[in-house]
Amino acid sequence: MSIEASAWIAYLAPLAGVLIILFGGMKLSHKVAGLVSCASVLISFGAAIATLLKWNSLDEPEHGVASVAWTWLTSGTFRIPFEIFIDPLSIWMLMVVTGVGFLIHVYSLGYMAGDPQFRRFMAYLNLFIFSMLTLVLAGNLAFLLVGWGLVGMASYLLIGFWHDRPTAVAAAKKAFIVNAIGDVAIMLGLFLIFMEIGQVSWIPVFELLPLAVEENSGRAFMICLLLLGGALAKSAQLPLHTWLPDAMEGPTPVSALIHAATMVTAGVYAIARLHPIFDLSMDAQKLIIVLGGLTLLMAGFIALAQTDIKRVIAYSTMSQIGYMFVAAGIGAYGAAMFHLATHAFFKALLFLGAGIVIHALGDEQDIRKMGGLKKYMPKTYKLFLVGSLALAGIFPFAGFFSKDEILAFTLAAGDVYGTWAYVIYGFGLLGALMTGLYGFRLVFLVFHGTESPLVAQYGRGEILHHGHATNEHGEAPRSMFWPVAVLGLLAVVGGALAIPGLWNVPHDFLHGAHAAPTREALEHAEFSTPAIWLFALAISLPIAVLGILGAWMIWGSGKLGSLRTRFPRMERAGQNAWGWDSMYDKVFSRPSQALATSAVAFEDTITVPALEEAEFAGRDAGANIARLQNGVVRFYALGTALAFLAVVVAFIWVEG
Amino acid sequence: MIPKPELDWFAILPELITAVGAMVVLLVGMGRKQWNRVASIALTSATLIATFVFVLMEFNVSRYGAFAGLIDSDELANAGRLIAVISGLVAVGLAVRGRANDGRHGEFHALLLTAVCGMSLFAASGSFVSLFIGLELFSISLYVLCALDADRSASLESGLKYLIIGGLSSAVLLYGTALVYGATGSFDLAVIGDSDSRGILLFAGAALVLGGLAFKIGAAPMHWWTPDVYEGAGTPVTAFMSTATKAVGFLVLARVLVTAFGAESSTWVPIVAGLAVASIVIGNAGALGQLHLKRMLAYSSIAQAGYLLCGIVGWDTTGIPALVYALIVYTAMTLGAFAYVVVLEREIGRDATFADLAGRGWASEGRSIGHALPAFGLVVCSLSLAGIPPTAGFFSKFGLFDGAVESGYAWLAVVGALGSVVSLGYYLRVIVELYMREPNAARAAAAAVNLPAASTGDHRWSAGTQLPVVSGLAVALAGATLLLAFVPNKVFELGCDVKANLAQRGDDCTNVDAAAAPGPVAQTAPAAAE
Amino acid sequence: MTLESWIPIGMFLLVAMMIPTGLIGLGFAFGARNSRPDIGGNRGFAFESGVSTGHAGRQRNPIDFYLTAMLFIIFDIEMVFMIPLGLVIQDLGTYGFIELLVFVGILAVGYAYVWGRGALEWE
Repeated sequence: MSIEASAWIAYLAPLAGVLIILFGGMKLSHKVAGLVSCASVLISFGAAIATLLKWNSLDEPEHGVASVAWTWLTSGTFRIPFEIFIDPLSIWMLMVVTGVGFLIHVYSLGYMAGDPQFRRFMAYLNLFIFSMLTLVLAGNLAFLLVGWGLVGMASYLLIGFWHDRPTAVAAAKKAFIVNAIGDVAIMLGLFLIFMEIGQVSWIPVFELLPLAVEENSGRAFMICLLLLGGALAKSAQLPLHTWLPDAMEGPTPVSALIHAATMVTAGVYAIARLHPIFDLSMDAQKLIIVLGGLTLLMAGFIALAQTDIKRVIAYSTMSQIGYMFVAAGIGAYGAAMFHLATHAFFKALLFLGAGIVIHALGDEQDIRKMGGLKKYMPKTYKLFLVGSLALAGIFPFAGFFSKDEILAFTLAAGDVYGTWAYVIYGFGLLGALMTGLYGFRLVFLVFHGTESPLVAQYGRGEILHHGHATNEHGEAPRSMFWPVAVLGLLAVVGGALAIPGLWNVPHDFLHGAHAAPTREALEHAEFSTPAIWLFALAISLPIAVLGILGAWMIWGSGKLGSLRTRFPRMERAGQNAWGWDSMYDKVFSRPSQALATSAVAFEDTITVPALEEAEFAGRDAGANIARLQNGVVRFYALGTALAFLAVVVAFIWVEG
Repeated sequence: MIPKPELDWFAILPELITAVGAMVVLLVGMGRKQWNRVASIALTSATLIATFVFVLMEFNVSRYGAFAGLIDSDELANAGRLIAVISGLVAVGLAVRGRANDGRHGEFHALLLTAVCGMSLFAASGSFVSLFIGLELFSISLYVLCALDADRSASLESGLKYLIIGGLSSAVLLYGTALVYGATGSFDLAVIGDSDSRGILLFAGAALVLGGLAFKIGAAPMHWWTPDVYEGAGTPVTAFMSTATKAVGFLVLARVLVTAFGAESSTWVPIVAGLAVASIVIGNAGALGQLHLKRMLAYSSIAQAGYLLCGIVGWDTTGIPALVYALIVYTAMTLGAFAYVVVLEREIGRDATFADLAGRGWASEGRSIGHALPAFGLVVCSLSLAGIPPTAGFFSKFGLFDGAVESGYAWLAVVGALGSVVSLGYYLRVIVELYMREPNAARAAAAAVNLPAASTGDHRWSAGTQLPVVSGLAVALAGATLLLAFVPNKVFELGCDVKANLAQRGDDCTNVDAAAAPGPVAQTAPAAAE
Repeated sequence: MTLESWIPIGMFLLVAMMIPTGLIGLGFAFGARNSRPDIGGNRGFAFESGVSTGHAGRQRNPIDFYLTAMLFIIFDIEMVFMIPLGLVIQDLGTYGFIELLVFVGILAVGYAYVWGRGALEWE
């Protein structure tokens, strides 16, 4: 089997799953549908591993392998093939998406069991995996755009999966609208690239664009800005971040898969994929760094004050993606992709753990009503703890290595970007402190402390689930538990992929002309050595520990008193998510609604009557033509004969 | 002793297969028993499938000048043959059990086969003689097919009108042929193309030939017959007629204009553009006011002929490949739309109006997904006919207009685009009725009253019969319409071959491919840098 | 190309049109006329082809007559083709003979159809 074949299998297997479930319809039992769905993703994961092995055994892997299924459209020199592009970057994403995707599929079997719409859910999940693979494997601008749109659609369908809940529908709509802004931006960006060089496939684009667009020119900045707009919306970064917390209305496996592990990191992937373009504009790089830095800090503060367990994790996701953006901005693509992978492990772990808790407590998500769960769910507690330690960046968990690599590169970036980059490093450190705080706030509030009435109820097996008592009071069902355990294992050992001074697998793997692990300028920066990495570790590890200790003082032992009394203003601001929603409501939503109202008024008074007039006129013209069609064959013959005469006369006229 | 001539039978094998099939089916289908009916359907399908397989096998084989220059069997001919055969197969499927009572299944199927035979010969003709024989063979078959529902006065009327006006146009075509012969001394298209005669006779002849062929493709202002004939004929016949005739008509029009009258293109291109404008305007305006579905589709087919003519206008650039793609797409989506009309007619037992569509898009009590899915097929086909992006119709229209623009007829593309906007007025109405209106028996009945008296009452379907094969065809054709959007380039390549057929024999598509493929990056890079 | 050069075409058309108009005109000029069909004369009746019009329209016209006549003409004309074929059948050899058989075979199919459909039965 060639590398192309294995990549195509990986790509198409989830689609086959969708089709089987779609056409099987009611004939498939829930069990079979679940099996088909999981099996298709497992096949995909297996093929992804095969692709990885093939890639490593290629003699001289150059830029990447473009595999064209067929040429979709040709017109003159303009050619859009239907192609996938296999290079270290896409294989890396392929592994993460299918691997984590498979675990979450298995988890969903338990989580969604009993839902009457179970088949639909599994089909949507498969559709999402397929869409995400379209995005990461796309071999040209056009199909990147297709994938970009498809994941948005899958996300919309899954957020609004429980379409009888108005909040879920509203959240789905919000996610769709915010993402639509990003979609338009990235579409315009890709069109601009296309206009510059008239090619769509990656290799020509990457080789021709630097020749066509001057470095640091306004045009380069414009293209990067538009592409960045798409990335910001998809990855929920400032200022297009408001949809992500609301998206938590979707089922928890969806939050874990789409809104933590894979889709929200598409922005990071896009920057890494299109990095030859971003390399052309210093200003765009700076913008990415600043926005990423601000987001990671702001999201950390908000996470401290939120009370919904999933929203806390959602803000944490936003914050972690902020780190990835900073890394991608300074050109440390290897570090960004490394953190993307480890983050996928531990954040999916946290979400799924939270899902077990929510599931157990009868869909309760308010952490204020929780406490003392450790007694009933010791294993889940341990896994959640592992996830939180990895998130906080404690040695030797995965987050420790990946996050600190980013911080080290940020430190090194000061050389390239000037002293203000050290401020971003400061942001990163502060963010690390926050991470420890909010991460362990969850641990302490949910699992430690005194038993809340709800948890006590759970202990007695009296939680009402879909209207009847479940009699559950122990750990989660097995199908839900094992995927979480595997993720826990990955969160522990995943960091070993890159150990400072010894080896750096992501960096080496992503080495290739078009998947450069670090930007050239950064590579030559004075500090880019394992030494500085170790130095950064030495600073950030104590800070993370400090964060955890702080969390213990505030929420564990209560020695410091509650945040509410000490920083009431910060608490309130955090609960309102710093007022972004109400600000957008005032600045965009209300005016646009007013605009819409006046537009409707305008339409009712002017447009509709005018259109009706036009329609009447059109119908009149049509009626006149129809009236000529009087059914009399003599008349038709005359008309036809006159038409022939007209053609002859026209010949005479044109020629004579 | 007269020597045995060298004859390349393979060049006309599709015609031979269908002709023999037609004779067998005529005899087998004579009885009125159940087995006669089944056998005639089976034999017809088998004949068409055999033809299909043969044409596919020999697709890229060009046999020029067979039968003393009468036959030019090449990709263009084979493309036309394939479309005719597929339309024929779909018509057989749509008519299944349609004439269970009148015992005319033998005639129906045999005439369908002779029509396919005639179209096939028409498409493969290399001379005006075989062209005319093919034309008459399929035209006469169609006249009878239209009138085959002899107990329905609308059907008789349709056949008679088609016969009279068709006879007129055949005479005009023949007259044009005679003038061309007078000018050049030959019937052979290639010889006519090579002759340096640019006399007045040639122009007059070309004008009349163009007129006669424009009649067959249903372009305005020779469109008078279309609405009445389409409306009156049985729907499977209409579906066959509106797709196969149009497709081979366009291919032959391209062949005649380019191969025989290529040197005069500066004269005929503006006239074809004029026909296109007339068709787009009259077709779209006429369709707007229609209540009757088949009549609406008839006007819409006039408009579609206008768009397709844009491909001929752009013949010297990218028009021909776009035309071939558009013809295939047009066949799929038009057959799909007619298939749903058949579904509907069978259900309600009379001709269908817009009001009959109301509420049929939803699966509800008593209406399973098997009812709703074909309706969705109609939606897909309507969107494609209107040229809405994700469907193949968009790419086909885009290609056609692009060809016109490339050849310097940007204003024609503007007219086409405006026409498409107007066409939304009736294509979207289909969707409005299907999904946004409640079914209302009184309204449907009131609309049916407005039908021409002949179309109501006596009808060939008994109400309530629903066949999986018909619904399945409606869904499958809609699926084909969607699928075609994924492979435009494959068909464009075929269209490229067809263009090479027209331009000069022996020339092929390779130079076009070379232009399209991205050159080595290293070579193109400096160009981009400048 | 000047407009004058189209004149021959125009004249050609004129002559072509004169033939049918001439035929109709001559008949109009010299034919027996009777503007009162109700008091006799054949012009008022449906048929002028030699069939007795004695019982104007009241009598049922035998449709079988027309059908049989039509079929006769079709087959007759086609069979005429066999006369020249028969004259040179020696020169054409086996190939020509097979061609002839194919031609007859096609006619036979038509005949079988007409027969089987009952078009030849006279009731």
